[in-house]
Amino acid sequence: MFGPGFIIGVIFLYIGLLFVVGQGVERRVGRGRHPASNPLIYSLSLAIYCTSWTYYGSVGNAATSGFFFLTIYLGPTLVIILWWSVLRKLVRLKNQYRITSIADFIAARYGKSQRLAALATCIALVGSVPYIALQLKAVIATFAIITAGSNPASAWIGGHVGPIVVLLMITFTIVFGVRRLDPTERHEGMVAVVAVESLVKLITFLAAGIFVTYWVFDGFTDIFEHLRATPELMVYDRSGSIPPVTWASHILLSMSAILFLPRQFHIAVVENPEENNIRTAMWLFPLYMFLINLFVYPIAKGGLLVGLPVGEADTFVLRMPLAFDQAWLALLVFIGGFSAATSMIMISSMTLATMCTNHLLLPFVEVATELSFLRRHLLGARWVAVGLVILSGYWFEQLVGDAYTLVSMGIISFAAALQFAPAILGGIFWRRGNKRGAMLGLSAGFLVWAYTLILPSLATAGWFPPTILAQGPLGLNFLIPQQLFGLSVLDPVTHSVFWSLLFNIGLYVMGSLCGTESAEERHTAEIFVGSLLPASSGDRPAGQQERIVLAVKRKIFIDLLLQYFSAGESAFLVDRALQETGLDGREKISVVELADLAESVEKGLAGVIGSAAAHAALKRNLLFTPAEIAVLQEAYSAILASLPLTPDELKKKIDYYREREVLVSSHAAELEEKLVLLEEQIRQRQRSEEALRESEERLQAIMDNTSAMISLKDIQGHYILVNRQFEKIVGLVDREIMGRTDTDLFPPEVARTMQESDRRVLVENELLQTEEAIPLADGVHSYLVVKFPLYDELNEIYCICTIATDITALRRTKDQLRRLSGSIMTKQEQERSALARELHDELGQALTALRMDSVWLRRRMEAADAKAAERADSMSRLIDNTIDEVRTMSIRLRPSVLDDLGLIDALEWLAQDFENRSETSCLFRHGEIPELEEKIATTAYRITQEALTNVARHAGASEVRVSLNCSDGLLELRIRDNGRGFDTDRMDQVEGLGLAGMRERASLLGGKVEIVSFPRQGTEVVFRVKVKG
Amino acid sequence: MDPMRKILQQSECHLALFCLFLFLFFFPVLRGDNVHNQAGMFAYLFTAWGGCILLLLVIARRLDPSPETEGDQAGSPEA
Repeated sequence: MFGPGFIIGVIFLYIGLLFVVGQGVERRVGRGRHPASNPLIYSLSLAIYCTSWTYYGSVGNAATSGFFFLTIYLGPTLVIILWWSVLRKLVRLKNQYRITSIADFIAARYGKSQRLAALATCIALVGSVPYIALQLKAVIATFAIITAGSNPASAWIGGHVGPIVVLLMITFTIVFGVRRLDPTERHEGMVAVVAVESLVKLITFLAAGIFVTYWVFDGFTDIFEHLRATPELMVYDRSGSIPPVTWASHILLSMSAILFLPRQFHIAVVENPEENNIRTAMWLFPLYMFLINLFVYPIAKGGLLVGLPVGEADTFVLRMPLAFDQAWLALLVFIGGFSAATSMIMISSMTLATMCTNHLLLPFVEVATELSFLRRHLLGARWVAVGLVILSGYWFEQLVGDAYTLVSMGIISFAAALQFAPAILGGIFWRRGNKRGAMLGLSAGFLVWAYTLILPSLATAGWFPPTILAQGPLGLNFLIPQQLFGLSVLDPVTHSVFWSLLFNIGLYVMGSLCGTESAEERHTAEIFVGSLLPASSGDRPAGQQERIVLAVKRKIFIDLLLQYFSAGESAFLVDRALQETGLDGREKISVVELADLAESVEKGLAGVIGSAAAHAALKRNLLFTPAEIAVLQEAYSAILASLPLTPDELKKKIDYYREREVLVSSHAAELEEKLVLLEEQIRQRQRSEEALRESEERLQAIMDNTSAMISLKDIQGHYILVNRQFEKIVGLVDREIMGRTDTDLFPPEVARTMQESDRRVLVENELLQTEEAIPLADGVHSYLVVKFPLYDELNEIYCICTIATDITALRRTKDQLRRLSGSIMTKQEQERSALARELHDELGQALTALRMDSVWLRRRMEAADAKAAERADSMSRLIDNTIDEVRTMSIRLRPSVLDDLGLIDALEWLAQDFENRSETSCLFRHGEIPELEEKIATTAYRITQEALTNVARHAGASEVRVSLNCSDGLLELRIRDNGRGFDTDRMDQVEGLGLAGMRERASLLGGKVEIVSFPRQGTEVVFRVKVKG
Repeated sequence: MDPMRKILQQSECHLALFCLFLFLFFFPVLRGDNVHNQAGMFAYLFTAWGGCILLLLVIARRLDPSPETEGDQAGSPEA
């Protein structure tokens, strides 16, 4: 057996090791690393839930109540599946508001109410004292067991184990948890220590369990067989008599305790730097509970089987090794139990001390101004608070420790923590929950809890007359603490849970529905309820004038913080807020920026003294002048007024964003499916690119082997692609041409022509066909040039394509043909003229002589032979007709009037002749016409003649107008009919009308013939040619 | 997205599993025969519990990581 001094020494050694661990982590944090922020450490630190209650109390509970002890661990396993929705929300809000404790969270949600924070602190404080007492009881009891029968010289230590343990715990807590003021209330060194302690208690408990199960017995089966063989032990097992409602109430209690016990909230929320840690904790923490509970039942039943008294079942885990002379194993078990107790006491007392100073002391100091110096001694105040909290636990342990088992003491605290559940869960899921409801619910729940659970404990301890438990206060039976309003069928804990929750939830809901919230509270409610929704950028007032001198406000902030911190710390916090708000280095700021700065400083201060106290401190100081407040209100009023939303619309909008979140999730799934499609499209694209490459090769081959010059120019006129023929013509290779312009490659005149045609293509945005002449070594070459724009995917022109075909030979041939044609026509006219003259002169004269002879013959025969005279007369008429025909033929071949009197008379005759020979009226008009060359007059005559012939044959017109005018040296002949007309787009189909001949005649003179016609609207033939004079 | 992953991420699914766990852990109590067969009860409770942990592991691994949060690892003035 070990002496008390030895055990104290071991404890100091163990604490020293933990201190080294904590310091090591703190040093790393100082270097910017965060070893305690990983999910494993977070999950292990959550195992602070498994305290001495688990380590010792569960075994005691299992010995007497069978598997009932498991409810305390099955509850957290059940509820942990909802952590991704609940705990993640709490952690996010903690980061947003720099929450420091569960009371701070409730205050932050409900209008930063200091009263509410104070109430929550009182509940946490009163509710935690029994739990701390439980830990102290366990340590003191196990210390006594492990040192029993030791050297009497150490008897003094043995007699003062309680005070020694209390002193140790206070020191331990201050050293690890409250060594300094931290604006974030995060203590990574302490969290690492808690994680190590969790590991130690798990390992030592498993060691004890394996020892009992596999050393003392032959495994689980052996234990259960022994149990079957000793039915008398079942006397101690009340699990069969535990009603389902009790089972349910304990599961409910543990479900709330895992998050709402102040220490659990601190570890799970305040000390959690990363939401994703929750994902690991969701399975690792239940696994931890599974392992630490695996041997509870075997140890409990094993202890009973080996004959240990059931009254000492709470300490079976330690007594079993001792009973089998395994002192060192017992020492290990003791260390494990000590770890379980110290981690709980350390975190609980630290968080309670923070709550007490922030939510009880500081508000009190605001009222009692003579104590305002305490603001500068917050750290010292917290040390005192830690001491008071642990001493309260020790006092409670001394008071009721003997009357209650460990489990009974712990469950009282669980029931107190349950009172936080409606206010917190309502706060993050129900917008209507407000301060009044929270205050009423918490107060009522707390009072009912105290009345139904704490009062019976104190009555049992003798602080109140025992009759109060049997008859109620003043004999009022309906107020019996454990049978409130006559409800006697429930066990005390379930009874308390039922009534406290009923009052708590009922008044929370009623108070919230009946009361009204301030605008700030409504705003906070929206943030808390919608904290997992994507953050919106929010509207900020803009255009504010920067009139506030920043240095003045900075001094006000520092003066405010000096009430709590040293000068250096205060300046550090203010400068950090300036950096966060981006105002660092500015001389003047706007009132809105000042509001941002105030919010940032408030958050920094909230990290130390809580959000409610920080809010009150900021409000207390005259940070804003009345004029600044007015400007600020005006700015925010303007924003509110400009919001095109009613509250209902705003709610709908929030709902819309929620739905959108769901849609985004489904959209993500669709995108994944589309990825597969995209991969297929990429493969298709690769195939297309391969086909395109082959196509380009073919195109390049065509380009390189064509006799035409092909080129591409960008819209600035730089060549970007040419074919071999182009290279050959300009005498340069591809790379020498690229990027150059026409000016660089061709003579200035040619380049100008080319650029002009390029410009036309760009302006008119359509294909252009033209002829261009390019001087080459063997002379000037004519090119038929086709230019057209190419478009990019945005339908914008990005380059011009030019295809130039050398038509020099064609042009020469055409010119020769034209000359030949002109010559033929001239000859034809000459032949016609000669033929007309021959007909008129030779044949006409012969016929005239013949007629004279026939007349003479008729006169001579009239008397002699009447028949012969008649025949001669007939001959004479026939000759007259023939003379007329010959004259007409002669005129048609070449009207002499054209040669004798000129074009105007010839056209007048032609019009008259046309009218005579057809049923169509023909009107000829003319202006002043100079003397014309014969070729021009002939051409005009022939064109008129051809046009009139077409009218007579095809037009079906009733009227033809012929006009001849000359102005500015341009002769213009128009022949217009009102006939059926034709479609000029089908000109090629009517070329047989002699139109080609007209054009050919005109072109020989350098003139032009245009034909304008529309179906049913007649036809107009216009001939224009330049004339002299 | 894997359809199972999509389902397991929804809070409605978590609520349904919560109800399933609740039933699993209440079933032996509601049957009321837990006194006479401790070995069976022990095996049932721990098997069900282990199954729940496995399911929690599967769900936790399929939850989309939360976006990087602000955190509160800012420096602090040393007292």
